[in-house]
Amino acid sequence: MFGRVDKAATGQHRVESRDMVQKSNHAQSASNEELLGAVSHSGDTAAFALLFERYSRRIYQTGMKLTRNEQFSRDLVQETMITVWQKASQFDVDRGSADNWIFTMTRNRCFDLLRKAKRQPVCVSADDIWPPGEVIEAAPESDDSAEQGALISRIGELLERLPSAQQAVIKEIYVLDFTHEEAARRLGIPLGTLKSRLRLGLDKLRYLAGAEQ
Amino acid sequence: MNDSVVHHPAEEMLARFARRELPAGLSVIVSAHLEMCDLCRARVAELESAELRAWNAEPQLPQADAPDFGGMIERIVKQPRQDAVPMETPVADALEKFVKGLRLPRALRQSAIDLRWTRLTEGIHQAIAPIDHETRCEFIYMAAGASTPAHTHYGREYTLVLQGRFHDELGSYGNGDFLSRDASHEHQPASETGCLSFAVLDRPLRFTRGLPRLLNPINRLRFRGGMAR
Repeated sequence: MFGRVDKAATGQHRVESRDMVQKSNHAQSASNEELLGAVSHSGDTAAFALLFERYSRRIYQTGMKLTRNEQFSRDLVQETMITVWQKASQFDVDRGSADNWIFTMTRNRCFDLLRKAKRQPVCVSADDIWPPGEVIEAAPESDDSAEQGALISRIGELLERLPSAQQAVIKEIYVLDFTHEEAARRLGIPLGTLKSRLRLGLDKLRYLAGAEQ
Repeated sequence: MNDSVVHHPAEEMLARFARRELPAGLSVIVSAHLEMCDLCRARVAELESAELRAWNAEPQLPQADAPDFGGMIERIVKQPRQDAVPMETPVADALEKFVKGLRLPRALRQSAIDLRWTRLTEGIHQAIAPIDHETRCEFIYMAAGASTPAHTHYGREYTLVLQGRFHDELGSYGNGDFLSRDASHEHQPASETGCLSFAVLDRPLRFTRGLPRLLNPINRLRFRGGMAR
């Protein structure tokens, strides 16, 4: 991939100002996020040229797939990449990847261009309907599931601090998903014993989880 | 506020929103609902992630088949860059006339800047938001105690409660609630406390087949409101 970028960045588009060539040496292995950062902080044109190389054909394809119109698709590349150049400083890596941001920009510019082609009123722009990096990954529910994921992996550690008999019962019920009766049979213990071990084990887990916070 | 949202767009509508297939007017009302509803926002986030994965999975156009973008980079980098802080859209004074302290969803802000209110009947006010040619979008304010004449729609009507509460024969709707009614529902919305909502008809009214509707009082009034723009 870097070979292609190399050739394109230095040859095809003649980005040959001294500044660009100097910077492009270390930029070619840079992540898209780093390149966007460089565009944002210092208007790094070499970083922008690399982003252009990495994304322009995909943006063009998006336009072609939708409209089968080459001129429209070229316009889409231009409008999207202008947005990337102008609004790079609005990209926030905490809210999502560069892929995500540029994909949103591609679809937003596409929406706006199609509206313009149809001479629709201009009182609404796609960036207001699909705010880049806001709707997609700032969703609170994913925070919940992340928190839950963290809790679940912590429970695994806490579980090991329980007596092995209680561990076994909890694993039968909450990992292997057996009913109380099935678990009792599998462990060869009376149902009442299983239930009391389960209750003691869960109490202890709750205590450990609370004590850790 | 988010917990109180009870009525949501259908899954199919969220999917079409995520795929950018809805007309602008419907995209605006769904976006506004998302801003008021954590649940649907999370669902659309999942759908959008799937779209992004599909985009990433598409085979890259071979360099040989790609058009020559020569000169485009040089033209773009001559453009001025913008600061990090996006411009705030001014608060919609046009809505302050009816409700105070409204936090208008971002998708609606531009459309609400220059509204012209028309009184439909006693206590019912309407302002058209000219968003696209495929839908008919309007802000509707029902004063406390107001009710609309019974009416049906031509096409399907989507309503988002922005502030306040109203009810009809099928239920009661508060902040963030999103409801959809098709032509078969004859309904008569009413509000006890006052209610500002945003409504989108998925088919604009047309003159050609319009005579029966022109005789229906609310449609006639709505139509007149539309012509005023």
